[in-house]
Amino acid sequence: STAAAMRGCMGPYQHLLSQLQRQAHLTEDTSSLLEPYIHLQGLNTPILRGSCTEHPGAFPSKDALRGLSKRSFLRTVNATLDRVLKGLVALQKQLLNNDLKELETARQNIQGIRNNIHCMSWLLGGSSETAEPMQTGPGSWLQLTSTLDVFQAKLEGCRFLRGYHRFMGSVGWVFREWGESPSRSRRHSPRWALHK
Amino acid sequence: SQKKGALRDLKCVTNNLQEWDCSWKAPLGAGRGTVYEVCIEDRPRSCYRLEKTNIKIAALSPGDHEIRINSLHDLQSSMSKFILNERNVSLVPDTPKILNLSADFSTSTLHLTWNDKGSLFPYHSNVIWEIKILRKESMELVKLATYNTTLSGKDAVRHWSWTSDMPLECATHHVGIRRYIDCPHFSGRKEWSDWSPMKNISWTPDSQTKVFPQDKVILVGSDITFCCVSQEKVLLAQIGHKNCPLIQLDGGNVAIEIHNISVSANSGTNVVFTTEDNMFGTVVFAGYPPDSPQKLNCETHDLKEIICSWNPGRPTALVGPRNTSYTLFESFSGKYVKFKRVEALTNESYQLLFQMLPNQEMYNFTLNARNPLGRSASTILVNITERVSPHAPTSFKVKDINSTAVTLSWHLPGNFAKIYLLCEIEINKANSIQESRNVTVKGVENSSYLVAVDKLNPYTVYTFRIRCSTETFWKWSKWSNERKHLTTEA
Repeated sequence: STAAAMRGCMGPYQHLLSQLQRQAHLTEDTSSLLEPYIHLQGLNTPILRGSCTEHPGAFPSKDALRGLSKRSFLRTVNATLDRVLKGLVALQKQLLNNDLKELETARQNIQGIRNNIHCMSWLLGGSSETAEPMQTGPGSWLQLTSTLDVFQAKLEGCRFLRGYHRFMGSVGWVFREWGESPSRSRRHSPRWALHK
Repeated sequence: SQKKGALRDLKCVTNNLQEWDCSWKAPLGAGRGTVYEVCIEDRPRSCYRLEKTNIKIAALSPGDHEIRINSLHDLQSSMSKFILNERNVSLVPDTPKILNLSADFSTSTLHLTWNDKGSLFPYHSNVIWEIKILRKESMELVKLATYNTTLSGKDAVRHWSWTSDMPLECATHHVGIRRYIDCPHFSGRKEWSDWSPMKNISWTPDSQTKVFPQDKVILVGSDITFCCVSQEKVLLAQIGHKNCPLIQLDGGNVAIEIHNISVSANSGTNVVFTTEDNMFGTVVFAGYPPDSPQKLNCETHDLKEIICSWNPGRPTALVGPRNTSYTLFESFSGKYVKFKRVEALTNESYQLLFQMLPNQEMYNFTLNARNPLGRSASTILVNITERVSPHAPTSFKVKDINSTAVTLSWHLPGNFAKIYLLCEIEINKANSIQESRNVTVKGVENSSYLVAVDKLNPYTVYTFRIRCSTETFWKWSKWSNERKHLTTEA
């Protein structure tokens, strides 16, 4: 139940926030998943790297994320990461000889982030269930269907991971804008305005 | 024996040996309205009057025949005599006609069918068909093949296939056919027919796919041609990291030729064509056919289930859906079991379980290995009762009979009712040499066993353990757990 899940939540807001920031930073790093995938799939040429671009609209943009309330933001990140997990399952099937051990690490990291997001939502008062997540655009989500030929599937996987890392970078950015206390956001604090 | 104004160049041609089509050149100055009277000397009532310079006559029998041709023009007549012999006649078969030309684009194979018109030819004869395949609008000859058949007096539809080195999607292919009848009964000249009307085949784009072949599996060391259907100008083509020279086809289409392709990684080798604004690609999987399964061994732990294990041999470099699939077939029963391992680990022993069949001791196994590049097999004939490698004895217990004898009991899973078990008991006594005793016990089904061990010393600590095999020895089981036991005092 939610109560039981919440018991796992440890530490004050600041601790949770810095943990989420660290996790976002970890998963933003393309060497954690995209780079190994590129090498495994033989996509490590300038031309193919150039084609490995994020599908527009597949993941929420940074600006879109910054415009959300905290709870909507948490909800959106949680929902998006749920879809990322499904995407990683599809990717796993594509990688025939399970040569990409980084995939499992990524899965665990994402699970860890989602747990902390649940805790943060609880900390911010009430579940984030009620807040509507931002719907990602109709952009093509990871379509690793059997109709794709092998080459297209490789590129799709690459573009998906490109988007995932970029998204995590944006998430980290937003978390870094959060203030020291649950109610304030550094983006709304006067001092922050001076820095702009 | 030709005079001035005489006819010239009498030539006879036949396409079926039954009728000769003879023609000649009109005499100089012969104008319209010239009438010719053709007579075959040794053939009764064989004079023909005609106004053209050719005549069809029934084939003449072997040997010389005198032909007299009178040309009548404006009340002037001129007569020419010819000696006609089969040897001077040319056999020029009818021009063949292609019935159907189709393409299997997935395998880059052209399929050709035509009717050999055997019914029009009186004799069984060997026929040589020549098939030419031209490519592109510039009609470059890419293949000239011959195909031998026999005319049987009846029409027969002939089939011929050709696998193109270049994917058929990327260039129009034109096909023509002609024939040469090598008839032993005919002493005249034999010539090729004319070429049939050309048939061509091209691909109509039905999908986004631009590069061909798609996801091809080929043998390491092969040569292969990739091509790209493109309206834009292709600037660069790469296989892996290597640039390849472009071969221009029709329109914007291009091709690259790869020689002696090297083995692919599991994820295949990428082949990429780049234009100003786009990039198209495919993947090729260069690997090996499956090795014959090595060290194929079939044994059983319990005479219920047979375990066949083997070593796959050389890695094929093909995984996933292109992986090697194995089927274990038992010929006496006709039963088989399939093994499909999607994530194969290289050089790791594979195994399959085959349920033993009632009242069958002899098993003739064939292990078939197959992947997209080929197949192989290994066989083994076993009497399974001689291939028992029992599980380790369990529930091993020691009980006193008296101060110098104990009973040992243990459990051994398996259906051994029809055989005898050979078990080895290891007896250890502190500060003494290890003793080993063999016992033969009648096998039972899934049960416990009991033996007595005597000639022990009273009031002494012994350590016992046991392992079993079968009377027709194959392998020992693992040892049971050890049991320490103090014999009773005397």
